Amino acid sequence: MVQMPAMNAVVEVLKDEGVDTAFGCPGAAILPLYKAMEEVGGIEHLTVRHEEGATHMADGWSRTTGRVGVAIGTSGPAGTNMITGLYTAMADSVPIVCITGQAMTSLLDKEGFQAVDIVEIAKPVTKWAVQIREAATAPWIFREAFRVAQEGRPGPVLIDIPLDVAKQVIEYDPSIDAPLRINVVEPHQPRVERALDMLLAAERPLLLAGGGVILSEASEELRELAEYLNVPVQVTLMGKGSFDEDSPLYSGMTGVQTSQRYGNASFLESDLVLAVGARFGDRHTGQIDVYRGDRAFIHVDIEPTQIGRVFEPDLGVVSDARLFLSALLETAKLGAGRPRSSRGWTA
Amino acid sequence: MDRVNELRRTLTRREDFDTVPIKAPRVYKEINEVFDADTYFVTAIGLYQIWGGQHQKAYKPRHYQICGQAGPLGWEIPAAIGVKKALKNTEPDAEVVGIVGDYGFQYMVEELAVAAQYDVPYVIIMINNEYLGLIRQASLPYEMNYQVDIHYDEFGTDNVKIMEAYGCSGRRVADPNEIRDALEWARKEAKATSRPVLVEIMIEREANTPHGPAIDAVKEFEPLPGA
Repeated sequence: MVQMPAMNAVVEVLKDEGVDTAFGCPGAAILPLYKAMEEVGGIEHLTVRHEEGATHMADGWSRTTGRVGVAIGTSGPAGTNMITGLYTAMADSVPIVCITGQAMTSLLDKEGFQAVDIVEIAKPVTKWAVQIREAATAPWIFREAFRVAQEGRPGPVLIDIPLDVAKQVIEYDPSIDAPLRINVVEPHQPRVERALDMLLAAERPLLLAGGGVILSEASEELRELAEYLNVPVQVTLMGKGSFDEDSPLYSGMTGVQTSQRYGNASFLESDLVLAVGARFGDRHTGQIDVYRGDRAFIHVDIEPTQIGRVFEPDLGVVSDARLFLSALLETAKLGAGRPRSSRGWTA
Repeated sequence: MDRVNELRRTLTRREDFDTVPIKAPRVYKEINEVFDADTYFVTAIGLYQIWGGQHQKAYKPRHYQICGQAGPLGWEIPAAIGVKKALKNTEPDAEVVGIVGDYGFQYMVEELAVAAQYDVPYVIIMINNEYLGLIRQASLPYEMNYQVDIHYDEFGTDNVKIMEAYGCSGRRVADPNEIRDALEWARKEAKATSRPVLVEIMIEREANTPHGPAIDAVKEFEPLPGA
């Protein structure tokens, strides 16, 4: 049996989840966590000047490492200051965990000092917002938070910890613990085959890479597929960087603001768009009737409820971007001898 | 890919402007030439996001980071700190650049103190039109230029002095031929001081970005190449 302060267990979980840097501002209601960070060590902490800053730092940290970023604040206005950062991370699918201190449980219904119901406030801009009520759940709620933040379409989680809960001692043995397994979203093979058939039948197809290609580390698979089938590639604003813009297959960005003239022109000449990890944002599509035209659309997204949300595609595929692209490439290679795509672009 | 390459070769936009005041596409031409493919960029929301999306080049995943949907002003100063700290073990010498607007700059400007205190170097390139430029542009159909002008005194807020107040440094540029030197100076200065360094670029105040309601109706505001 290993006993330790609940917040020491939390710091052990953070470290095991790959957190070596945290961004935050201490306050009276979060000091047990700071005591644990000092005692356990191993996490470099930067004291921010505003909690929104902490959330955006955790955001940039996550976009760079691919791991879950951590921002820390105390109760009351610290949490409300984090809302813009949570919204940003939710909107752009960035996995971060925001940790807030909270007033003592006994003060929560007494209009206690800096005691605001941050969990209710944060719910619309998080994948999960939760208050720890039982100290023994602390390491497991944190494990679950890291799983939720990363699984499927990534996003932010907020964990609120009342001061009295944070001060308790619990059983936790970090030497026999590990991150929870993250469910992998593989494509359904008949839909991969249908996507390939449509792609090969098209005269002037385009691959459209969204932010999901970056999140799933699929750039290499995207390049291989584009080169193997000889299909031009566009990116969305969130997908920018997923494909080398010096490549002869790069055909720009479509949109009503962030776009190239050649991007919009080649999009308008295309007859099929295979969108991977993109959500058809309104600054990309502009007027939907023009955007759709007579083109066929295949929409691949890891989040099932995204498909059909902006318009009905001709084919929807629920999948992680990288797993889809590699399945499509493998399937294409099995059908050796079939004509390569893009006849219309070379005519 | 003949057709794709033909479109790419012919349907471009000008970046070679050498007029004073500076036109924003020229700034991105200089950025593309000065920084290499390994540089990490962060950029947020405003006219400069649109110019960036039109003119800046990207080559590698995670190296062009943008807050796409929410558009929170001021995201870059803290985001750049997060990016730089994220690379502390893997690419400690990687260059990080934040491209900012003059208005959004002040939303999270206090985080410069964090970068200064913890020795987090990066380059901040400010595209300054002393306007809420995107909102001035959005006001055009209303035939309105109301409460979007933030100019006062000579340059409005003295952003170089703001940098200096936080223990950082900066330089203001008004001539397109000075941009490259200023960017090179900022790269060296960031490395030498281990702190953020600002290059503030004063651009044409009422320039508009190409934009439109539909992808076949994007309006251009500058002469096209060859025109």
